[in-house]
Order: sequence, then structure tokens, then C-alpha cells
Amino acid sequence: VIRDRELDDLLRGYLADAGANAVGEAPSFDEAVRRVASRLGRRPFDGRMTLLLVAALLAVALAASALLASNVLPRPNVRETEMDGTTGSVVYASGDQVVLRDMATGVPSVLLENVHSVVSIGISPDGRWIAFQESLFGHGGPSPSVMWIVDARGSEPARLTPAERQISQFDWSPDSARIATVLPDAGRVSIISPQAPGTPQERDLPPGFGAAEVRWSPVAEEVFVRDGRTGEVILLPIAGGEPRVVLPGDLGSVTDRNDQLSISVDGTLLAATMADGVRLVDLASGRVREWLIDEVVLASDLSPDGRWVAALTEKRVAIGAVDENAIREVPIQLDLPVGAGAQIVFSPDSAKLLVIPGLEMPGSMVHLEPRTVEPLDWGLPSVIQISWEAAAGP
Amino acid sequence: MPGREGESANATTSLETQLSVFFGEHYSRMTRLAALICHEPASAEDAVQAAMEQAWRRRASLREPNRLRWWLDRIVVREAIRINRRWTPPRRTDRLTAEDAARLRDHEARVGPARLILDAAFGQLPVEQRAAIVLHLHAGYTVQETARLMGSAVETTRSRLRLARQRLRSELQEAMP
Repeated sequence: VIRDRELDDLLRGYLADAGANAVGEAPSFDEAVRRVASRLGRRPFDGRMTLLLVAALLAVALAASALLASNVLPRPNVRETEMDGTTGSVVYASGDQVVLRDMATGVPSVLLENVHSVVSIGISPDGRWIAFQESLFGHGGPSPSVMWIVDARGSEPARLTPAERQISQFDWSPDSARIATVLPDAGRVSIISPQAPGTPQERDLPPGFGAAEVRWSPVAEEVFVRDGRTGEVILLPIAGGEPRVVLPGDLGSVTDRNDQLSISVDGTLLAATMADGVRLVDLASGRVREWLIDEVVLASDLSPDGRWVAALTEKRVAIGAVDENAIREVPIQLDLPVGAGAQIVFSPDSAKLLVIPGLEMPGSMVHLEPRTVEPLDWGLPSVIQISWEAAAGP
Repeated sequence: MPGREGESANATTSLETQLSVFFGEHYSRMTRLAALICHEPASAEDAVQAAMEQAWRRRASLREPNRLRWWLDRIVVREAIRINRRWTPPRRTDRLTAEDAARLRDHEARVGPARLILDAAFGQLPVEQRAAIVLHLHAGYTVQETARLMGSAVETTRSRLRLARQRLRSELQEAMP
């Protein structure tokens, strides 16, 4: 086995030689300076530039007339999106609005306007309620935040938490009656009951546990809590009792996002995103299956039926089939560049995967393979829908 | 009194002198970084020239002159990554070609099979992983500095370094058991 130090020495030697050769073959410094000076000294408007400008103006005029003709206006970037795999709806903040959109029909409804700065948002599993967290000082750095709840059919928002609370993330309970949140500063998990206002139920976390994410177990009065520094996941009974470690820490590099856990509907499997892949835990036996991916992984999701795992890397979507011993990657080519806020979620029937490629995504998906990936005609060009069953084979 | 052509020639000469002073100490290092990251001479040449042009135009934004090296490295690395993303490397074949050997020729005869395998495997890494390796192991930047130069998170940079090492180690072990 080649040790790290040996490999680094080998690499240093190789890089030094290859670099020296490259310098020998590159244009001389004088030649490079001449070329750069010539490019810098060009008159800003020569014939080519004028032609380019005219062409650009024509293109803008054509695009504007096409937009007006189709009555479609550009939308602000979508941000802080929650795609709910249970209800078939997607809720997101866009500009200063909170919008709910039906995944099947694409029909949007603007629930709220003039929202200050939404930092997390989630729809209840029964589809009736939307909770969101509004940061008082915008998106930059830690800030006190307030959690609100609003009826998905439209209503005035009601406040759920005082302003001094710092909430990093929250999750609706399977019965849509409660919301679990992590209070990182206090080292606690807090359970809020929106329909029964009063003091929230709180559970202390183990000392030193850097809680970053909480997820309800679909089958019991327990929540999974992830340590954002080590990646350790514990199962915490709500009513009291000792927490149980379900995924040990330091199994791989953790990512700094707060949506890295997903659980199968029958509560038997838990998938955790790591920077180098996905760890799938069999919750009954504690067995961990690793799916290592040779790229930096941004997000992953376990299908509700527990048969598929999807991983979003910096460049593509990878889909893995879960079998008894391993996760086997399905050989499909789904290249797409994604931004930092990219998300994926399986549909309730586990047959489709929705991808929001993130904040920096330009508004076109035309380069994607049309047979397996088709843009949804929502006026939301950065949301796409993928089918892969055919590619997975028997 | 010189005519317009004479004035233009004088202005170009003056610009060349200023460029020479500005980039003189740094050209060789910029060329090395771009060549190692791009792993392809034409792209590397484009990256260095684009970086020089960009740096010259934005030189007023350099507030700390003693950070010139860091500032130039940041520009050239990002240009190399941008340009390289447009270029698809040829798929690696099992047999190394004369072109692979030529890229590594050196007069001290240090080129052995391991170097050739390393060169081919290094060329197949994603450009971001190559850049992380070059900045960290060749240019001597720390992981944090490498992350800042590339505009990435520290954790992402660590992952890139780890993945690159994993792949290179695996290629070497597979080819030279």
C-alpha cells in the first residue's frame, strides 16, 4: 500500500518535473507580454465589436418579443426551497414571496408577500400547513429568527417562536401535529405544537453534541439528530430515555448543509449524506452500507420505498439501487451543473426524482438528455423531473 | 513630430515595459500552475494570457501590493479551471503513448513507469481536484489558502484532495502491483 507521504513525495516530484517542462515549452515571457499588450491595446470598438453589438441588440429584441408573445415574464431565483415528497407539493421562497406549487399540475399560489428573509421552510405531511423561519438580519451569518406558520390554503401567518431563538433547521412530525427544531446554542431539541400553544417540550442533547439537523422517525415517538461536526446520528426518544447512536461519527467528511438525513417510510433505513458519498444504515441491525462516489456530494435522498438512493454531486445526479449488500449505481448519464443550494427529493411513489439545481443555475435545461430528463413547464426552469426506471434495467 | 503610427508604436512599447515589470517575477510560476492544472499546453497558454490580461485590467483593485503573488495565483487558477471546463480530456487508454512520455521528458532520466502512470492518472482527475493538488502540494499553500484561492469551502477542498489521492493511489497500485 502506498502511504500518503510516499504518494505526496511522488506527486511533488512529478509536479516539479512536469511544471519545469511546461515552462520550457510555453511562449517566452517577452512573447507573452507582446501578445497581452496587443490584446490590451486594441481599440475598444472595431468592426467586429460593432457587429457583435448589433447582433446582441437583435438577440435581446427577439428574446423580449418572444417573452411578451408568450406572456411569460422572468422570475427571480428560487431560494430556500422545500420539496415535499409526501404531499406532492413544493414550497419555496422566491424574491419576497412564499409560493406553494402543486407538483402534478404546476399550479402556483402565492401564500405571502413582503417576507423579509426566509432561511428555512417546510410543508406539513398532510399538506395543510407551511412553517418557515424568517431571519431578522438577512442571510449573512447567525441571526435571531422567528418561526411562522401559515395555512397552505392562504391565511395570515401566526408566530410560533420568540425572536431571540436561533433555530438551525426544523422538521414536521409524520402526523403534522408537531414541529421538531434544533436549538444549537442551547444544545436542545425543541418540540413545538402549533395547534396547542404553550411552552415547547424540550430534550437535552448529550454534552458537546453539535446538533445541526433533526428528523422525525416515521414509526415512533423519536427523532434522529445529526451532529454537524462529526456526522454522528443519534435516535432520541421524545418522552425521555437514553439516546441511541445509529450512525457513528467520523465515518467521512461531513457537509455543512442542514438537510442531509432521509428515512424510508417503514422506518427501517436511514440515509446520511457525506461529502464523499452516502451512508445507509439498517436501523434494526445497525449495519452501515457505504456508497462512495468519486465526486463531492452536495445532497442525497432515500426513496420512500427504500429501494433507491439519489446523490447530487457538483456535476451530476447519480442514482443507486439498494440491494441486500450494497448500493449499486444505476448506469445513467445525468450531467448537470448545480449550485450550492441544490436539492433533490423523490416523489411519493418513489418513481420520480425532482431536482432543483440551486441558486446559481441559469434558466435553461435544454442541454440535458431529453429522453430521461424533461423540464417541467412551471415557469420555474430550474426545477426538473427525472425518470430512471427504464435505465435501471431488470 | 511623430505621426499617429509612431505614437501608437510608442504607446505599445510603453505598455509592454509596464507589463514586463508587473509580471516579470511571476510569469514562470503562473505558467507552471496553469500547465499543471490544465494538463494541456494550448489551454494553459490561453489561461495564462487571459489571467495576465485580467490582472492588468483589475490591478487597481489590488490593495496590498505584498499580496501580488497570492492575487495573481488566484486569477490564474480560476482562469485555468474555467478554460479547462470547456475541454474534455481524451479517455485514458490502457497503453501509454509516446505523447505521454514526451510530456515528461527530463534530462535526469527520472521518468519511470510510475511517473507515466501518475501523469496519465493525474490528467484524468477532474480539473478542480488537479487544481487543489497543484496548489497544496506544488505551490505549498495550506488547505485553507487553497480553498480561498479556488473560492471553495475548506471541507470541499479537503474532499477534493482526498478523492484525488485515492484515485491516484488506486491507479498506481493497480498498474504496479
